[in-house]
Amino acid sequence: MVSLSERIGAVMEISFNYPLFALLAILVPALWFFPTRPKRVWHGVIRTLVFLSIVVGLMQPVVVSNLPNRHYAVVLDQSDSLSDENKARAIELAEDVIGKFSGEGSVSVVQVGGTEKAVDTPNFVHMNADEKSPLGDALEIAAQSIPFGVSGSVTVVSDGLSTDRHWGRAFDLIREREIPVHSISIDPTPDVYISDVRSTDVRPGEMVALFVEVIGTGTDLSVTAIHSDEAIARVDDLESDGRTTVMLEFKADEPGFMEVEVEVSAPENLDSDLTNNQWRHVIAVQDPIRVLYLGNRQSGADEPLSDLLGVGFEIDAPVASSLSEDVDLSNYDVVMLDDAPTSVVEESVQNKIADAVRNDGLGLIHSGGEAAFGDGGYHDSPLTDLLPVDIPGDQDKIDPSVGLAIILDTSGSMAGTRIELAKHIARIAVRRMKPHDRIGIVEFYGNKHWAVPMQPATNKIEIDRAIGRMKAIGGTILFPAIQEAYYGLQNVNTRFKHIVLITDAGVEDSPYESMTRRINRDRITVSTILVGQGGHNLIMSDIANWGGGRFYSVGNQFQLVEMIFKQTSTKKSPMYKRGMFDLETSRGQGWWGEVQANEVPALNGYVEVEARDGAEVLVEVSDTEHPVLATWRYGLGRVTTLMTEPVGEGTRNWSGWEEYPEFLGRIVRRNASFTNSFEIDTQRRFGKTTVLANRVSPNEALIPQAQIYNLDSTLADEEMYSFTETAPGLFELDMYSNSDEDLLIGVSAGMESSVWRSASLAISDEVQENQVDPMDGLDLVGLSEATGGLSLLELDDDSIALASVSSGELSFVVVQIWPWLLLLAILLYLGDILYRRWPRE
Amino acid sequence: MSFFNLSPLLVGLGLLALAGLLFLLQQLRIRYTELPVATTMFWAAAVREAPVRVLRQRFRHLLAYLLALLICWLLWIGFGGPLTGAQRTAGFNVLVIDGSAHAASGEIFQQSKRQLLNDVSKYPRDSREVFLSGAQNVRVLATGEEKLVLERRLEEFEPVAASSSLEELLRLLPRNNSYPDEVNIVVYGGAPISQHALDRLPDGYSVSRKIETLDDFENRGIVALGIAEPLSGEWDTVDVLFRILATEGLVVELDDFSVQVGEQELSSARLELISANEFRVRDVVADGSVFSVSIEQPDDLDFDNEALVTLPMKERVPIALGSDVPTPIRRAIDADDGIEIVGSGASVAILGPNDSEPSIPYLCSAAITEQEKAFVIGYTGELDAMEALQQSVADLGLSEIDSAAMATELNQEIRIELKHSDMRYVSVWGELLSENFNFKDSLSFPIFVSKSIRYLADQEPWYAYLAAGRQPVEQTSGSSLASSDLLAEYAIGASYVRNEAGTLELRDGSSLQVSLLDPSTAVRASSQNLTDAVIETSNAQTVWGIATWLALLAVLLLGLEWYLYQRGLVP
Repeated sequence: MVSLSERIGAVMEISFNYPLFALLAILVPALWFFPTRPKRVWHGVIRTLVFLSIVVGLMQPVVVSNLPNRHYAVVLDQSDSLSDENKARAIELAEDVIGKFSGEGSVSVVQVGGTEKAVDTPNFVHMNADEKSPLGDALEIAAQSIPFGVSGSVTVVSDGLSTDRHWGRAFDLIREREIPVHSISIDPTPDVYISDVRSTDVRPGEMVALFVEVIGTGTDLSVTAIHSDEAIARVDDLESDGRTTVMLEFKADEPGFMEVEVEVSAPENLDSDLTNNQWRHVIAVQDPIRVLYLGNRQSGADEPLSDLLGVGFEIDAPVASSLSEDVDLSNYDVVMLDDAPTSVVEESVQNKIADAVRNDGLGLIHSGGEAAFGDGGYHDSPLTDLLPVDIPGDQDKIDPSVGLAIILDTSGSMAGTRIELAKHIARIAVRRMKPHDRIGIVEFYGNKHWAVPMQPATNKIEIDRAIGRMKAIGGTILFPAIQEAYYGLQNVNTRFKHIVLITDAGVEDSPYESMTRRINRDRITVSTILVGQGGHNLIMSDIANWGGGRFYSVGNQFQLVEMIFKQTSTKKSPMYKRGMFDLETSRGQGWWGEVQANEVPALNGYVEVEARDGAEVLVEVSDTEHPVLATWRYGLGRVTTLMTEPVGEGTRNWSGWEEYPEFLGRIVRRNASFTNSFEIDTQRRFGKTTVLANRVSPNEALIPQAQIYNLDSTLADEEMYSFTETAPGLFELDMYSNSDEDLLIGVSAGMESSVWRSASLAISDEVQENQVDPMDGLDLVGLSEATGGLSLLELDDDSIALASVSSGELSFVVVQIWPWLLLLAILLYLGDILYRRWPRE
Repeated sequence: MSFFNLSPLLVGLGLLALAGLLFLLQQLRIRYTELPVATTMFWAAAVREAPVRVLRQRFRHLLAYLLALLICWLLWIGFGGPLTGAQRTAGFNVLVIDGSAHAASGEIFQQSKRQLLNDVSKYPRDSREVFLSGAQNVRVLATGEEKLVLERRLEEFEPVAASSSLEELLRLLPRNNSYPDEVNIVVYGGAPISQHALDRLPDGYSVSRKIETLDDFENRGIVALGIAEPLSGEWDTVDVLFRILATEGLVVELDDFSVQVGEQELSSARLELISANEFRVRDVVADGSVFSVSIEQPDDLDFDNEALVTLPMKERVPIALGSDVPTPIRRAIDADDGIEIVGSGASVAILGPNDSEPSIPYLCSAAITEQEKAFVIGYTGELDAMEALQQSVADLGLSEIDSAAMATELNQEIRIELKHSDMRYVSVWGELLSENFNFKDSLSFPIFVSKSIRYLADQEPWYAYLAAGRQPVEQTSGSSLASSDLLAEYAIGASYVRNEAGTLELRDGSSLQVSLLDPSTAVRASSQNLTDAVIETSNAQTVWGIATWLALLAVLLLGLEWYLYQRGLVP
C-alpha cells in the first residue's frame, strides 16, 4: 500500500484537457459592471466564484502524480491435471500470495481451468480454455494485466503441464517488460497415460512402426492399436519407470490416411484417470511403390509379378523398346530391368536410368536369365558400373581362356594312319592355344594316363614331343579316361572348358550318357572326333550330343584345321546355369523381415557372375558361392541384382514358396527411393499450420503444391495451394483450420506427380489436459530463473519480501478534477441563492 | 442514459434533491430591499410584501425557480458525466492501435494516435481498454484509467520493425472471460487481418477499422532471404536466395540494391536471376559472417529495405582415429568432406573396440552385452537441451533399420539412452555395424555418423532464415543433433523468434540476425474484410463531450440569471 509519506513525496502535476476555455474568464468583469455593479460585494464574489468554478471545470483539469504503484498478477492453475487435493493446495497457496501481495499493491488473478471462481478477488480473469491449460496465454494475460509502465510481477501457481508449447510470445513480453515471474510448483498427479504417438512414413503393404509414449510408473501394462474397431497390434507385460516408449507394428493397407486409436491399459490401482488412456493418431500412408518394369524375354511377366507383389506396388510395363530418352523417370521409384537385353533398351534410356539412380535415388533392380547380364549385353553398357556384380563380357569373346582336355585313343585299333591323324589333330589344337589357356592330354590304351598333365599352354615344344611319343598299343577302355579329363578340368579356372575325344570309336559299353550330361552341367562341353573310316559314329555323335559339343568325322588330314577352330571359337559356355541349385542366405537382416531366411527353396537356374567388392550378397549358390541376390548403394540410389528371373524358368521351384511374395516385395521395397522430391514437415500453432517442403531433388524446376484431403482420402476441395520459396529449395505455405481440426495435406510437384501425404494433427499442437508429457511442460523453475523471479518453495514473509517487481517508469495516477468543480459550482450557486434570499435586518 | 461518475439512480436522486432544496430556498423571505414608494397608497402593499421577522413565505416566482433549477440540474448532470449515444456502445470496447511496421509509413501512426486519443474518451472508462499492437500486444490503457495516461504512454512510442501482432491479440482476447458477451474491437491502423482470424472470433465479437493504409504507397521491400545447403555439394558453402517485392508501378533493378557478405560487397555478376524479382547466389563461403541485402532507393517504408542473415560457420571437424575403427564408420568419415583426420589437435575421437577412453568427446561402439540400449549418448549440458536432442536422435531415420527383425533377432529393442556425463560421447552397439545388419548400408548411417561427430564437436545449428515472429526453420540436417538449440533456450524450450527485426542476443552471448521479411508489410494488401468503425467522429479534431456542452449552457444561464437579478426581474 502506498504510504502517506510516499503520497506526499509523489510529484504532482496539474494538466488541462481544454485550456482554451480559460478565455471565458475574460467575462468575469462583466459580472461586476454589467448591467450594474453588485449591490453587495460578497454577492458579487460568490457569483464570480460560481462562474470561475465552471470555467475551470470546462478546462478539464487533471492532477497527475507518479505514485509508486504496484500490480501483482497471479496465475492460478485449477486444471484437471491436478488432483482435487492439489487444486485445493494451489488455491491455498494462491490465497496466501494474494493476501501477502495485496498489502503491497493491487492484485489480479488469472485462473486456468476449474468451473468455479477459486479465489475471491475483484480483478479476476477466468480463462476460456476449452478444458486445456494454455499456460503461455495465461502468462500473457497476466503480464498484460500489469498496466504498462507500472511495477509488478507475475506469480504462477501450477504444475507446469501446459497443453501447448506456445509460450514464446508471453515469455518475450515478460522479458521485454522485465517482469519477474515467481513460481510455485505443484506436483502433478501420478497416473498412467499416453502422451504422444508418432509413426514412420509407410507405403501400402509395409509395416508401420508406431511409437507410443507412455507416461507413468507400473508393471503389467499393455498397449493396443485399434483400426476400424479391430485390434491390429498389441504389446503386453510392459514395465514403465516414469515413462517408456512402446513400438507397435502392423501393416499399412491402402494409400491415404489411416486412423488408428491407441490405448494403454494398466492395473486399476496404478491408473487414477481412465479418460487419458486413449490417443487418436492418423498415419499418412503414401502411394504404392511405382515400378517401371522393362521386360522382354519373359513375355507377360509383369502381370504375375504384379499379382505376386500385391497392393503395395504399382507396376507400369511399357514395351521396353518403345521407351526413348524423354521418359520421365521421376514418376517411378524403382526401375526393374528383367531379362531385357541392351538391344531393346536404348542407350539413352540406360544413361537416363544411370543418372536417376546416381543423382535422384532411383532404385534399380536388374534380374533375369539368358537375356540379362552378360548375355543381355550388360557387360559393357551405361548400367554396367552400377551393378553390384561383375559381368564377363566381350573380353572373353575376343580372347577367351580355354581349358582343353584331349582324350586320345592310343589303343591298338588306332595303329597306322589313325594314330597319326589323331596326333595331328592334337598338335593343331595345341598350336591354337594361347599362353593363358590350359591343356592336358589323356591317352587311353586299356588304362588311362596323363600323357600331358593339365598345364598352361606355354611349353608347346614339350607338349608336342609328348604327343609324338604316343604309340597305338593295348585295349580301348574310354570311360575312365573321360572321368580323368573331367576331374582334371574341374580344377582349371578358364572361361571355356572342353573335352575333345579323339578315337576310332572302338569303345566299351559304359554309362556315357549320365557321365557326359553331368560334365556338361558343369559348363564343360564334350566333343568327339572320329578318326579314320568305318568307325562306330553313332556312339560318338551321342556322346557329343549329351556333352553339349559337336561330333566330327575326320577322314583325312585336310579337314583338321577348320574343325579345331570351329570347336573353340563358337562354343562359348553360356552364363545361365540350369539345374537345381541349393541356396545359402546371409546377412542383411533388413532384407528378410519375417521371411525365414534358412527356408529358401532351391533355384532352377541362375546367371553366373561374381560379386563386386563392397556388394552385399544376400543369397548365393551353396556349392559354387555364386551370388544370386546382391545389392549395394550407388550414388543416392540402391541397385540390386537378382541373377535369375523373378517370374520364370529360374524361379519355377519358388512358385510353391509361400514367403516368396513377401521376399520379392521386400527386395523391390528396399530398392525404392523412399525420398520424395520434397521433405515435408509441418509446424502448427493454434490452427495455423505452416507446411515446409524442402526440396531434396537437385531438379530446381520442381515446385511443390498442396491440396487438402478428408480422412477418407478424398479431396476436401479442388483448390491447389501454392508455396513460397523462402530459401533455396525451401518452400513454405501457411494454411488455416480450426485449432481442434486435423489438417490432412498432400504435397506434389505438379499435377502429374505422385502425392506425398502429411497429417497435421490438432493433438500435435494442443494435447488434452490430462495427457501432457511432463518433458513438454513449462519449466517453471527455468522461467523464474530466466526472468529474475523466485521459485517460491516456502511462502514465508522473507521469500515474499525477496520477490522482486519490475521497475515501472510510467507508474502514475491521474485524477480528474472537473466533475468536482462542477459540484463546487452547484454548491456555490446554492450559496448564492441562500445569500441573496436570507432574511436580514 | 448512463454516466461516467455516478449511477443513473444517484443522478436522479440528486436532481430531486436539488429541486426540493431550491423549492425551500424559493420560499425564503427575500432580504429587505429599499423600495422608494411614490405614494402612501402603496404602503400597505409594501408592508405586505416585506413583512418583518417572517422567514418563510409562500412559493412565488415560478419562472425564477425553474431558471435556478435548470442551472443546478445542468451542473449536476455534468458532474454525473453523461454519455452520448455513441459513447454508450454496447458491451466492452477494445481499441487497438497498430504500432507494427505497417504503421511506419508516412503519418499513419500519428494519425491513428490522434484519432484514438480523440475517440477514447467517448467510451466509458469501465468498459474500454487500449492495446498497442507492435512487436507485442501491450495494454496501454487499462479499464478505468484516464485518457491522459494513454497520452503519456504513447508519447514516446514510434512504430517498430515488427510484423503485426493484431491476429495474435484477436486470438488471445476471447481467452479472457472477464469481458462481457459483446466485445467491440476497433483497430487504428492498416495492419491486415486474415479472414481466418476473423472467422475464429466467437459470437458477439466484432472488429472494425478506423484508419486505413496509405493510398499512394510506393515501396520496394525484401521479403525473402534464406540460405540452404549448396547444390554443388561443397561442404563449406551455402546457397542464398532473396526476393524483393515492389508495389504496382515499380520495378526491381540491379542498381536498386546492394549485396554484402561481411564487409565485402558482392559482385552483381554472382547474382543469378531466377525471376523478375528473385535472385540466387551460389556457393557463398559459410564463414559465420552476415549476408545482407540493402535497397538503396528511398521509398515509403524503411524497415524492409535491409535484410540480414547470419551465415553458418562451417569448419572441418578435426578428428582422431583410434585403431581398428569399424570399417563402416571409417567409410562414412572418408565420404564426409567436412571432417578431417588429424594427428593432434582433434576435437573428437573415433574409437576402435580396444581403444581406451580419451580426454576429448568420442564416438565408439560397444558390445550388446556391455550396453543395454542400442544408442547411448553422453551429454554435459542441461536436461532441457537434451530433451530436444533425444527427439532429434529419435528422428534420425533409424527406421531404415528393420527394427522389428532386429528385435526378434537380438531380443532387444532399439532404444536410445541419454546419460549425464563429464564429457560428450556417442556409443552404438557394435552389432549394428556388423555384417548381420544393414544399418551401415542405410542412408541414415552416414547421416548418423556425420551428426554424431558434429554433436560431439559441439557445432551449433543454423537456420534457413530468421524472420520476425515466424518459427525458425532448421535447414541443415547436420544440426539437428546439436547439443542445444539456443533459440529454444531463449524462450524456455519454445520454438520462437521474437517479433522484431534486429540483432537477437542469445543467452550465451552470441547473436543472430532477425529480419522483417513480411510480404504483407512490403506490399500492402487491402483489408476489405473489416467494416469501418461506427464511432461518430471521424476527423482528427477535438470534439467536446456532453458535459462540456452542459457546463457551457450553465454558464450562459448563470449570466442571464445574473443579468435578470441585477435588473430586479428575478428575486
